[in-house]
Amino acid sequence: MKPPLLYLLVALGSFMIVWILVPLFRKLALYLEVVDAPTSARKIHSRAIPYLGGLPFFLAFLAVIIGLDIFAPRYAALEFYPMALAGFFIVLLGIYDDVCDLSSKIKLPLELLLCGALYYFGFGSTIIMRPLGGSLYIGGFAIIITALWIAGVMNAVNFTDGLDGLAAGLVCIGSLSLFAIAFQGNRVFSCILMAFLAGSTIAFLCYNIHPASVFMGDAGALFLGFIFGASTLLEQQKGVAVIALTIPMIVLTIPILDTVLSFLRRIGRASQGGFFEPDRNHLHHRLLALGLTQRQAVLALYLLSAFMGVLAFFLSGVSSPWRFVMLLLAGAIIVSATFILYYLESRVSKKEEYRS
Amino acid sequence: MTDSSDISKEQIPTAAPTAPWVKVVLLWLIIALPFALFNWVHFPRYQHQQLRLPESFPAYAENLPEDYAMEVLRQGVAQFNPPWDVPYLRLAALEQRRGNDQKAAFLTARARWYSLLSDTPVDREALSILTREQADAYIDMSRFCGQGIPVAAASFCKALDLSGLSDSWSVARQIALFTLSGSAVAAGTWQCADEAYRGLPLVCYSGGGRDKRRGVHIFVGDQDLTSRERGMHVVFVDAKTGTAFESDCFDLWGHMKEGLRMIQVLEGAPEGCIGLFAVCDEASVFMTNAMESALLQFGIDKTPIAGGESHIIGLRSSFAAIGIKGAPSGTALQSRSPEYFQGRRGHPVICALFPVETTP
Repeated sequence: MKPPLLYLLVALGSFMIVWILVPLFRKLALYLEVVDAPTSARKIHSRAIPYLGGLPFFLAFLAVIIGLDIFAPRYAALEFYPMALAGFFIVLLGIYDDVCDLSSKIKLPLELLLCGALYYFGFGSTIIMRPLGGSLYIGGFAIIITALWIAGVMNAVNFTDGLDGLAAGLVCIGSLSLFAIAFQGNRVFSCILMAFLAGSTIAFLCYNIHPASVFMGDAGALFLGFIFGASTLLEQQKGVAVIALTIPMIVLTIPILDTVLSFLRRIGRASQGGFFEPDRNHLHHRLLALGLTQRQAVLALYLLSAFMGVLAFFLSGVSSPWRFVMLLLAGAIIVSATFILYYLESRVSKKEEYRS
Repeated sequence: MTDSSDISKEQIPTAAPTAPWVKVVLLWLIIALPFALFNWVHFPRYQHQQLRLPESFPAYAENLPEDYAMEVLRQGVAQFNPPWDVPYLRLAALEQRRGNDQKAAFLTARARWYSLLSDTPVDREALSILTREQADAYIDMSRFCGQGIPVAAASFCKALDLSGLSDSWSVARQIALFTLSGSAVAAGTWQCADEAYRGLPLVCYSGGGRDKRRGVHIFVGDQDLTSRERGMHVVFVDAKTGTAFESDCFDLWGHMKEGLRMIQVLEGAPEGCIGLFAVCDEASVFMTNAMESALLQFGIDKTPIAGGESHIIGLRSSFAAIGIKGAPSGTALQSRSPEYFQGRRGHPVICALFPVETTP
């Protein structure tokens, strides 16, 4: 089977599985009353929406691996099994969080442990690229990078899961961007994983676009983030071509920026013991506060993400010094966007003060 | 923003109130069952894949019928040159059963060699005796090998903390040292050349192993054309006269542009010339598919590794090769030693080609 046909089949297969299973899991969530009730100010929706829409992602991933085993065994990478195994525990963790609301104090160390374990299955690289060219040998320190990177991406995707269609849409755009980059570099395993992510998130968006009838929940968001993060490390362990993490970082600018800003806010209120407490200041919350509708806010973040995806695509083809320049450019865009957001927020608050 | 009292209940069907832990267990079971099924189907395949990993070929061979086991062990030994006695002993036993006594004896000697090297402290006397036993086969060859072999042997011993061991040895014993450790040594006849080689003796020594201290040498006659710089060292030699006309080093660990420069140099080399390659320290970080393809023009072979992809896997460890530009893949003299194999560190390797007069 030729790789492009394989990617198409993986995307279509995962689309079909998720598309068929989501309504079933929605019914199950309603039956078990595993729903997201708008009980706090952080919640945007006005009625209870069932969780568990993300569980089909995991089942589709298992089905894709089995499908590869049967129809294209030479493309069933050895690393897919550790991903499925760690993904299984992450989904269990997510389910517990969806039902019982697990504290971040417990959740985060468990996530780091699961993600760090992947290092022993060949995920991660002991050599990292320097921004100005050249590389650096980091030895065993790579396990920390692996754990932080995958857990970071998982939480970044989870944080963006605050508006209808936002997390799934951003993962879909990111996976399409990385698919294009991996396809250009003939990286088969990355292409398979990105095709899976794209297919399953598009299917999920059929139910999750505003007004959403189902949420993916922590189980789905963490699993999507996990697959995304782990797949960017997949081809690094071959040793013949190190993919810099700068590319996926740019593709995931929105979720990562949101996570960084959230982390800074949490540090700011850590002295009051609120580090692990969620707030209502995520990017999507702030766009809504500016007066945008849900659809407009989601669309704006989609567009920004798509722009960064295109930038990453061009960035992947340039040499190290130019890559550094383009990284600076991307950083400048992000910082400018953040300042514009702050400026607009201050204008809105001044107007409100004036009115009151 | 709505208050909790505004929650529409229409979406929530009536169900008996259930404790959260019951829901969690139920949902875990719903996910665990397909996962168990997945394991039932996929795990045996995963185990099989693991056994096909480079380091697992001896274990993989254990479960195969004798013919297949022999093939797997032969391929594994040839491809990965493991610095571990077990695969050689197993292959020697199988060769013995087939009546290939000479091969079995050599494999047993190699197993003994690696067994001695893994001892602490290394028994220098036993190593000396072993090389002396093997040296007879290389006496004729040693007359025409120039200064390359003694220098490479000294570097080899130094890299393994056995400094001075080979200094008093005859050249034939020094060649035996390299053949015992899986290096490729040929004289005159060469499968990718149209005619026998009559030029200067060629010796490529790669210390490899992510350790610059282990060094690199490419000898054309008595002249060493390398520095101790990190990366891929390349020398081009005229196949008829045996004289070197270009030498360069590409830091493929450090910079992508070095790789691009290497492609240009390899592409620019004339058809039919001999390319000599040796890795110092590490040369795989910026090795792209395009760079690999440029190397493959010299008859260098790729090795399939787990997952179905093929790579020139020696480039992150000791790797030396001598090939003719335009020759078919797999015809180059090529040797490598892995960085680590089953916890044992690899060692330097050489590739050597001596003129036709040396053929025993």
